[in-house]
Amino acid sequence: MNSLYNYINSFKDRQIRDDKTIEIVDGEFTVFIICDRKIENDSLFTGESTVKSIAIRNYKSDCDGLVNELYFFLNLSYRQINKIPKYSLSRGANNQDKVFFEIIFPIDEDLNHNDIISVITAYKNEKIQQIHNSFKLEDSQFIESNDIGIVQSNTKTRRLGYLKLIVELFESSNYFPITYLGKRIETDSMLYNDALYEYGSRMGDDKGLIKKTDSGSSAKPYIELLEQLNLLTQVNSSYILTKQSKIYFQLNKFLKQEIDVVDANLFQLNLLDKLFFFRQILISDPLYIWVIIDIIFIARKPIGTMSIKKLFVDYIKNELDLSQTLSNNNATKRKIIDLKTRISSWQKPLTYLEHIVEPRINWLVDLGILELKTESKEKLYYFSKSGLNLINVLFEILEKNLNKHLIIESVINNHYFYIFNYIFDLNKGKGSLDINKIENYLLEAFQVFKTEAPNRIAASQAIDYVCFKSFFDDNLIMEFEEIKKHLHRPNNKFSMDWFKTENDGALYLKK
Amino acid sequence: MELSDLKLKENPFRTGPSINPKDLIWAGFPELKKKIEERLIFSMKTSPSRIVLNWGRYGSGKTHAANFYTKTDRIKVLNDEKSAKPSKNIKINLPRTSKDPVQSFFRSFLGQISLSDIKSDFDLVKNALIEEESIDTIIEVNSNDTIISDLFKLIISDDNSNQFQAIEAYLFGDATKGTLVKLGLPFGLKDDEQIVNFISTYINCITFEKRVFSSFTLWLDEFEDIDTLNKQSQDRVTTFLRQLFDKTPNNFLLFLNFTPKTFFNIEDLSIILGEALSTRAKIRIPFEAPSIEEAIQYVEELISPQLDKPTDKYGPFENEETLKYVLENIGNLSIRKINEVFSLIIELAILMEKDKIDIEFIKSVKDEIPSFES
Repeated sequence: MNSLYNYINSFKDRQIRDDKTIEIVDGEFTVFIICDRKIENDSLFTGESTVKSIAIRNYKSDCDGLVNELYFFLNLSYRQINKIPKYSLSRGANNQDKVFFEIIFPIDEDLNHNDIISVITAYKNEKIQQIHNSFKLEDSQFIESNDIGIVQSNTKTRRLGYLKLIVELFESSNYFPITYLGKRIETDSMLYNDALYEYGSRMGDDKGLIKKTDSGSSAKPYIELLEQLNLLTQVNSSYILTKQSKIYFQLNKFLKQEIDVVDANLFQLNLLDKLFFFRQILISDPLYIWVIIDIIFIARKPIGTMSIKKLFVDYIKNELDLSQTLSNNNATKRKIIDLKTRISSWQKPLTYLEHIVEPRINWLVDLGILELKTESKEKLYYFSKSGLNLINVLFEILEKNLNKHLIIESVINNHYFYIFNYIFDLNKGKGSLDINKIENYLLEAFQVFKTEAPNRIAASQAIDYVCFKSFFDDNLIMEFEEIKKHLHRPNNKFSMDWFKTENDGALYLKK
Repeated sequence: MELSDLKLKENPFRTGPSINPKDLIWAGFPELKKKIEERLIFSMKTSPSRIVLNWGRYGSGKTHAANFYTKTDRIKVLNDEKSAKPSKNIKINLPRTSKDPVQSFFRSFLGQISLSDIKSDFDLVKNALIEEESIDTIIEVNSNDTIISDLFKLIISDDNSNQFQAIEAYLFGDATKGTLVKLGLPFGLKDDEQIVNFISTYINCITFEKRVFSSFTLWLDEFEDIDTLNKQSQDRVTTFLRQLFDKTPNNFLLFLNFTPKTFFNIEDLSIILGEALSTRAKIRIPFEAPSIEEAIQYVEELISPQLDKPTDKYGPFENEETLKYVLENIGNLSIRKINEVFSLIIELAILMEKDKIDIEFIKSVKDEIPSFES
C-alpha cells in the first residue's frame, strides 16, 4: 500500500470526485483512483476504503502520436506487469477536438497498487520513441460496417498454400460433389508433401499437412475455412467457387500461363496470392487478425503463441467494449454484445484459442508479415519489415477513425491497393484514371466472368478485375471505390445497378 | 382540375402491377413481344418441352409479361391465329421463406388449377379418345407412378362425388388413416417426387398428342426469391424443377423470371440452377433497359388509348422533346421507373393546375421526382 499512499500524498491538490474517486493531475496524466466506498476523512488511508481500480488518462489536442503513445504505454505495462491493461480511446465530452486514451488497471489478486505505481514511474522515466509514420491516408470518411466478421477456423488450417491448391482444382471442373471434394483434395495434396517439408525447413514451420484419409476428413478443415472466407460455397450438394474466389481463380490462371510457375513451391505465396488472400482475411476476419497483430506489437519482442493466448481473451473483450461504445448503430452494438457473450462463455480458452491463434500466426508467416525466430527452442514470432509497415498502416487507420474493426472494410474498398503497395514496398504508382484502359479491362471482364445471364456480370468482379489488372500489368494503383464511382457516372458503354443490401451490383453493356 | 383537363380519360401510367385483365395492355417493345410469342407458338405447334430464362432488372416488365400472357386472351388469339388447340397458362410466384417450398408451390398450383378444373380437363380428354382407347390407358401411359395413376382415376371417375372432399384433403397433404382408407390409397402425397409425378401426369395427359390442349405454360415469377430459402430448400426447388421438366418431356413450356441481381457470394441465380437445369434451359430472353427511342414509343402507346382526341398524340405533353427530356434525366431506364415518373408528373400537373406539360414545367417540379438526376 505504501507506495500508492506516498504517490497520492505527493500531490497536494488532489480532488475527490463522486465521493469515491481521487483525481490527481500528474504532469500530462490525470490519474483516477477509484474506491469501493465513499472516501471520508482520509478513510482510504485507514483501510476502510479499498481501491478498486486505477485509471490513467492522457489528453491530446489531436490524434497525431496518440496511438503511438498508447501502444508505448501498453508495452510498458506489459513489461512491468505481464498483462495488457484495459484501455479506451475517446474524444473529450466538452471539447470535440480533444482526444484521450485511458488505461484502466483493475486491482485484484494478480495486480496490486505498487505494480501500477511502478508503471507510472517507468513511464515518466522512459522516453517515448517518436516514430515517424511514413504511411498516410488521404482524409476519407469511412463507413461503418454493421457487423464484425469472424472466421471459425480449425487449428489444422495453417497453410494458405492449400487454399490456392483447392481453388486451382476448379480448373478441372466447375463443381465438386460435397462428398467427393475432400478426397480429391487429399489425393492432389500428396504431390505437395515434400514442398511443405521444404517450405517448413526454410520458414521454420511445416504444420498444416493434408494427409490421405478414407473419409476426406483431413481436407475438411481447409474446405470449411474456404467457406468461412467466402471462397467456396455449396449449391445443389456440390461445392462451387464463389464470385469472390473466381477473381483470384481467373487471375491465377492467367499468371500461370504467363510465367513458368512449375518450380515454385505451392506454400511460398506469390504477390497475387498475398494480395488476394490478405484482403480476404482482412475483410472476413478483421477482429481476430487485428487482435493478434496488436498483441505481438505490444509485446515488442519475439513472442510465442502461448503468451499470445494468455493475453488474448482480455484484450479482445476490451476491443469489443471499445467497438460497442464507439458504434452508433444499435443493431451493431447488439451483435457485438452477442460476440462478447460468446467469448466469455469459452470454457477452456487456452485450448479453444489453438484454433484461433495458431492458424492466424501461420497465415501471417505465409503472407510475409511475421517471421519465426529460428534459434530459440520455443517458436517465437516477430514482425518482418512488411509487418512493421503493416503496423504503420494500422496506426494510421486507427488515428483516422477510432472504431477500427468496423471501418476496415470501408478502408479496404478505398485504399487496399495503396496499402498493399506500401506494406510490400512495391513502388506502384497512384496514377490517374485512363478511361480507355479501364473500359478495355471491363470488356475483358465481360468475357472472363460471363455466366448464363445475358450481357451482365457482377460489378464486384468487374471492378476487382480492373484493380488487379492495373496493379499487375500497369503498375498502377486503382481502388475499388474509384472504379465504382466511375461506373456510377453516366457513360456510353456501361450501366450499373447497385444493390446496397448485397453491397454489389450488376454491370451491363449498353447496346 | 381533373384528368380530362389533361386530355386524358385515365392516367395511362400505372405504379404497380395490375391484375385486372382489362388494364393489362402491352405497350411498345415489339421485339420483346415477338420473342416471347415465338416461344409460345413453338410450344403450341411443336412437341419438345422447353425452359426459357427471362432475364431483366427489377421493373423491367417480367411480371407484367407473365400477367399479360396468363390473364388476358392474348394466348387465345395466338391459338386461333395458328390454328392450335387451346393452351393452359399459369403464373406461380416462387415460394418465399417457405420451410417446404415444394408443398407451397403445389398449393399455388392447386390454387390456380383446382380439382374440378382437373376433372373437367380430363372430361375433355375423355371426349377426345379414339376408338378402343380408354382414359385409364392414357393415364397409365403418361404416368410412371401407380399411386398417382390410381389417384387420377379416382379424380376423374364419375361417381366420386362423395369422395371429392377426401381427394381434395389428400392433395393438400391429409394423410390420416381415414382418408387413405376411404380413397384406397396406401400413403399420402407428401414426397416431392410424388408432387412432380402428380403435376407431370396432369400435364402429360391433357396435352397428350395435343388433342385437347396444345401446350401447358408455367411462368415461375420472382425466381430471385430462392435466395430467401435455406440451402437445403434451394436444392429441393431446383431438383423439383429438374424432375418436373424431365418427366414432362412434351408440350411443357417453363418460363423462369430472373432478376440479374448479384448475391452475397454468387454472381447471379444461374449458379443456383446448377449445371443440370441450366443446360436444359437453352433459351434466354433478355428484358433489356429500353433505349430513349423505345421508351418514347412505349409512352406513346400507353397514352394513345387514354386520349380524348386521337389527334393529340402526346396527350398533355407538349411534344416528343418533353418526353425525351424526362427520359434522359431519370438515370437507368426501366418500365417501372418510366411509369412511376410519368404518373407522378401527371399527378403534379393536376395538383398545380397545369394543362400543358412542357420542359419548363418538368424543370419546375424535378425536385419532386425522386429519380430525377440533379
